[in-house]
Amino acid sequence: MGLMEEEWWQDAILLRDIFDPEGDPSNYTGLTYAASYEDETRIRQIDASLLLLNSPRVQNIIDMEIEYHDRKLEESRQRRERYRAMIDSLTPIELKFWEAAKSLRLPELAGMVPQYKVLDYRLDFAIPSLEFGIELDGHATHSSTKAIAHDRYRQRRLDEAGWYIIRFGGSEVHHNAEGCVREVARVVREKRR
Amino acid sequence: MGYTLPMLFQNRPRAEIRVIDPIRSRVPPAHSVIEEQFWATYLQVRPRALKGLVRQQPVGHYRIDFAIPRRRIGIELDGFASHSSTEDIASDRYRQRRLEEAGWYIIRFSGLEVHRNVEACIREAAHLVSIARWRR
Repeated sequence: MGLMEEEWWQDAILLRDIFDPEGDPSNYTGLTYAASYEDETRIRQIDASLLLLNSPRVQNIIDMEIEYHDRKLEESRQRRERYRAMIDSLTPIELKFWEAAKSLRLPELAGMVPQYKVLDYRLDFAIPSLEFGIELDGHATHSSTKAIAHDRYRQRRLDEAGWYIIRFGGSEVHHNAEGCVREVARVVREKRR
Repeated sequence: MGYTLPMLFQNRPRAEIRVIDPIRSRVPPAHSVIEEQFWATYLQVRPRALKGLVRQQPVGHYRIDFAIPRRRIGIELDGFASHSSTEDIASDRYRQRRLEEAGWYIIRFSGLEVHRNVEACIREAAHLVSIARWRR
């Protein structure tokens, strides 16, 4: 096979690939098959779209799209990780309260965030827009003399700053987390009124 | 002396029928050491903001250590002895919420703070009362 014939055969294989992948390339050599008008237009269309796809402007757009989706994915991954870390950082009673609040899905607690920082103090849960704090006092960290003194001091500082704090004992949350959540919702409703 | 029988029985104290309220009777007897200290210092300092302060104000089932009933403001002194067990913490929080529901604003001091500096506590209470606004 000469050089010209070689190229011719390669073209036939190419055409075969496009129109009939299982077929015989000799059907496309032009000896037995003349490309129809439809085939020609189709080839032209494919060429044009390939040209368009390879053009730097389209490539640029595609790159931007890919970048955007990557960024979105990364953000959602980070958000998921942060949520996981937050859940891990909660104490058992806080976790119980959080899960009860999530499962009840009360509209009053819409803006509730865990571990909110006010005046260098960390509130267990808070609704910042209402300046409303929720504290769950476990026995472990609220029973020593110093802890009691610090608690009272902290409470007065928050009062002074205009925050309203509702407090629950650890055993209350442990035995009836849903009741506590409902009570918070009721107080929020009353405060809004 | 002409005493008649009915006259003799007139001033005899009647036998008291006492119904023991389980909740009320659980309240420890008033006037612990820190309360005495606080009250004595209050009588000395007498800040204007705490005008009308009374001791052992009953509110429903509960009794507040010090209170200004007209403004519904209470001052509580929490000693370590009766505020540190698990049940105490839970019942304290419950009580607090019930009082707040009834419109009371409670200022709390720990026994330690009162023991260290009573006067500062009184001044702080006066400050908080003076800036307190109506809640709920």
